[in-house]
Amino acid sequence: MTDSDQELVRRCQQASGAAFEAAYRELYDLYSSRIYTICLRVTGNEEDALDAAQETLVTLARRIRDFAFRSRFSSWVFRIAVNAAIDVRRRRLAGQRGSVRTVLASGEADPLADAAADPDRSDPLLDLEGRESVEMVRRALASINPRFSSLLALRYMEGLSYEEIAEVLECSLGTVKSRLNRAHAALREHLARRGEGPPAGG
Amino acid sequence: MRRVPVLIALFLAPWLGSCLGGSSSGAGAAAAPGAENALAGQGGPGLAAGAAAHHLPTFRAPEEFLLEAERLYRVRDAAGAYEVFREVLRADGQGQFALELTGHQPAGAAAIGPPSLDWQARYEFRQRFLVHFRDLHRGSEESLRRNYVWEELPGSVTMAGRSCSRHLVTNRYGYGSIELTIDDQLELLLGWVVRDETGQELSSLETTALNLAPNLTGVTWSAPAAPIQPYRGPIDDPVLGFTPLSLHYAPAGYFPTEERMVLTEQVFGTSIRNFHVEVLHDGLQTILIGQQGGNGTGPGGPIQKTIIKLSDLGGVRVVEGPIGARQVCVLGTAPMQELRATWNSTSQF
Amino acid sequence: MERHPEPAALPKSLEESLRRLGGVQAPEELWHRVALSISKPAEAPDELWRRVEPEVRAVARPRPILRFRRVAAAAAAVAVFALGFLLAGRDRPSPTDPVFAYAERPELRDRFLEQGIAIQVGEEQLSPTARMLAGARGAATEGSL
Repeated sequence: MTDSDQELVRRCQQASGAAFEAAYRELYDLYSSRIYTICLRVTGNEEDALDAAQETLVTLARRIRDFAFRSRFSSWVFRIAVNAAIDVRRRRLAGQRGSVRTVLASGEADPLADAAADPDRSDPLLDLEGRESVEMVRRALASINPRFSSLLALRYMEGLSYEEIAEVLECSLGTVKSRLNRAHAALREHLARRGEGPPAGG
Repeated sequence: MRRVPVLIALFLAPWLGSCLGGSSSGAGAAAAPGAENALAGQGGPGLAAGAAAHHLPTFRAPEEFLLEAERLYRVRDAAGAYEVFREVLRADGQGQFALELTGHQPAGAAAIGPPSLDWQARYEFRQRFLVHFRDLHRGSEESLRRNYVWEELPGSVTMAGRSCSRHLVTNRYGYGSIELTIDDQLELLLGWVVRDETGQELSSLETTALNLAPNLTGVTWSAPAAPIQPYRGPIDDPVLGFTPLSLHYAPAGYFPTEERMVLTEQVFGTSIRNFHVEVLHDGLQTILIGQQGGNGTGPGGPIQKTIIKLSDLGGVRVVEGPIGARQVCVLGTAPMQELRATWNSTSQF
Repeated sequence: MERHPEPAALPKSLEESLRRLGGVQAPEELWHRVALSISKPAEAPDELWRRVEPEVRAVARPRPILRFRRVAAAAAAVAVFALGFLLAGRDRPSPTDPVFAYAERPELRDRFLEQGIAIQVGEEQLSPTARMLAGARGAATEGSL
């Protein structure tokens, strides 16, 4: 945990009223975009990402006094975010059970993944080919098992090490590595099936 | 006290008793799976204590999907040998399914061969029970977390050509363990191994082939062999033909999820008396309590001299004996003394 | 210490695409939602009512009105309720009953185990129904069905 994180968390824990809100706002500014990114990449659409991110941040606010500094604060934050995003995505899938299950079984993309409003499309620094590639990967993340998409988000978007990921997911290092291996395979297989990427074995 | 009120009250008493006592049997015993969450006071997703703990693996049972799956079911027999049954499960993803026996390897046989007609008939009769009660179904997050220690096993595994995760799930009360093999993409339970409290393998299921776009034309879907209805309480006793006894003990972590009447007399006459089945679930496995009535409706009497039969069939343990005019059996994979205590508790008044 | 193999690497282009999907700015709306939520007391989730409702409904069930003098009726009801209870059988335990617990209760178990005479038997000495249920539960029993 960084010194500034620890200090900020303690301020939230010890404050109340306006002082708490001010401290919490600082914490929000530090983590909200990172939380939102994870939620967006797992749920695949902005509406669900907002729900999941809101759930995460509200939980954070209500339970921050329970945080006992036994692990990194960021690990705790990401764990809540991953759980919330997976829950939201599963709830949506459960509500669409009949049609979506067979769609997923055939390997097609989740039709609920919102392709229209993704902020990446407006990034002028990406050339056309780069944008298409990123878009394909974005859709793939929204289609594969959310436990894999959250793992890929932690590894490649947050840049967490295996040890840090193990702390977030509360599992062993070996499990992180094997799960990441399967996540890679699932992503490649999905892209290959849609003719959108290198073969699954490559 | 006036005679008239007393006589009328006497007449109304049983009905009055059930009214004032409420229908806890209906609301409670027939509660949806996960009703035990009320005990834990679990909050909603994202806000409960579980929000800060890692998610337990999710999986769904094969009969919920559109598929045709070939599986091998292996079960220990009473002598400690293993029998293997090759099955094909077909499901339409809308609630209908059929489980067919296509091969059988009796204990001591060298290989799987065609099943006998008797065994095919048994499977045809038992298929719905096997899918509902033998096969594993995921219960509430609360029960899974409270009853089991979860560990994802490292390494990659493939089953039926599908990339899967494997999980070792150990019962916290020493009742044994289960290994689960879950399809990565569909979160479909493709395999499991159940071990008892000594580590002995009791049974296992392995999916050997999976078709997610099957041709289901001409499939005869399973149907109950006899009418099965929820048991709502004393109001259903006249239909059932007796009053089922209640439990006063259950093994740790097991909670009631279903209570049913199987009205076999409507199909088989009195050659198979109606019976009552209560299902306890611990998040993964079931215990069945079966009661078959005689002519008595009274409570159980003292059982100090009752002979209670204990039978370890290998994959399943059974406790059976008479209580009053009823025949009561308790069966599952929990330790025998747990099942026996559960059985004994039904004799309590 | 067991060494775990490193995950197979992704193609560089794929890794790059994944990295580019990071760094999304949270929309302003998120702060508004969060600020509103934390300024209010926590609301019980809808699911809580769904779990409580059956018990509440059972308690709220209207009692039958007895058409005689209240004192006599009440006394009679109390006196015969016990009798009716004895005759009609005990109410079935609900999931919140102490019968069910997330804990071992060895004293309770041992008290029940003191009773009866238990003998080990083979499959053939079980009743047809027990054998059928055992088969339904997955035992390799032959039995009648």
